[in-house]
Amino acid sequence: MIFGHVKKILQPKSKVLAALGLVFLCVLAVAAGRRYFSPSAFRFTSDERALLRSRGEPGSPVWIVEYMDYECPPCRQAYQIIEDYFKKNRSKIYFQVRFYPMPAHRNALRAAQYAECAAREGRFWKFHDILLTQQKEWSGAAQGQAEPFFRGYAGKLGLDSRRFVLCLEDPGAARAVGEDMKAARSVGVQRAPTFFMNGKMVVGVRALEEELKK
Amino acid sequence: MNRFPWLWVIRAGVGLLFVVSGYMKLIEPYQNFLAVIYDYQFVTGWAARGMAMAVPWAELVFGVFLLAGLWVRLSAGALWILNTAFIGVIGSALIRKLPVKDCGCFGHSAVSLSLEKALALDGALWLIFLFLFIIEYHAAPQRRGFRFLFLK
Repeated sequence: MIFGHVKKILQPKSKVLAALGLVFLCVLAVAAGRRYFSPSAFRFTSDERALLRSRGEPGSPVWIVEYMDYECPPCRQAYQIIEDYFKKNRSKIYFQVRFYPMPAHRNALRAAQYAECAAREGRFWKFHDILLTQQKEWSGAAQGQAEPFFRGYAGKLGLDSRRFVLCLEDPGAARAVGEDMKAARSVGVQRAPTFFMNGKMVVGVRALEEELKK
Repeated sequence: MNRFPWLWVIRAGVGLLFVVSGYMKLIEPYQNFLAVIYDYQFVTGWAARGMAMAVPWAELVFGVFLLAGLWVRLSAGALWILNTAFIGVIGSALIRKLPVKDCGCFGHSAVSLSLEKALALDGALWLIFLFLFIIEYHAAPQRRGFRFLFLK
């Protein structure tokens, strides 16, 4: 009889304890999942390749790294926002572009390879500008059919040297883009555009606008 | 005698679905789900950030409770409310023809659902919740009102 009374008193409490225990297990499972599947923390690196796609003063208080896809419309919107912000705060920002062409975009990888080769010729920013401002022109093309557009833009910038053409044929350019993508995934990037502003992850245009207002 | 012995299978299946959905979002940086919320264009600022942090935890915790058979009615009720909200948000996105390609229901995992498929899934879940509640309600005629949620 006593046991029955004790059981009656404890039952609601045992449910609360069980619930707390389950919540604790959930927290542990999430922590383990993040450690195993997820990312390392983002660390800003400025290797020789990255320097070719950077602008501003390296010692600036604000540094922004963008993982972007040339064929994504939000990346084009973000480009305008960043350009305006950079013009107003040139001395305060160090901005770097890294490639994250998404599989759903048929010509994004090739566009990134062209941009990588343009960077090796010291013309990255002009080629970057053309790819984004003319995005609507080439992004609707079938896979592999945007090549004439890219060659046209390269030609306008004087990027038709033998070295540039060899770069495009060299698997090294594709490998370099692949390394950017691998590095992106290791820090939790899942879509473009994703920014790291002084190490803080900001995903998408709306979040970027809110962050820049601060 | 239990008239619906297979009821726990349905309950466990629904619970598991929400556990997976919440977990897949939680193991990624919350900023990825925040970007999905912004895609739907219905909240911004602190409300969006709060939802990005809270919704996956709610899915996971209530899903685990449902799976474990703990506070079943409360957990099912909370998930039903979430489910109804998802239907509203996805339906609104479809009506407004927003350029959302992936519902973001399972984070950025291998499971990618278009808005139409997500709406169909959420609609089916809504009916399952309704069925579960009707069964539970008729099984416990002595517990009505607010007590109905907490006494199981």
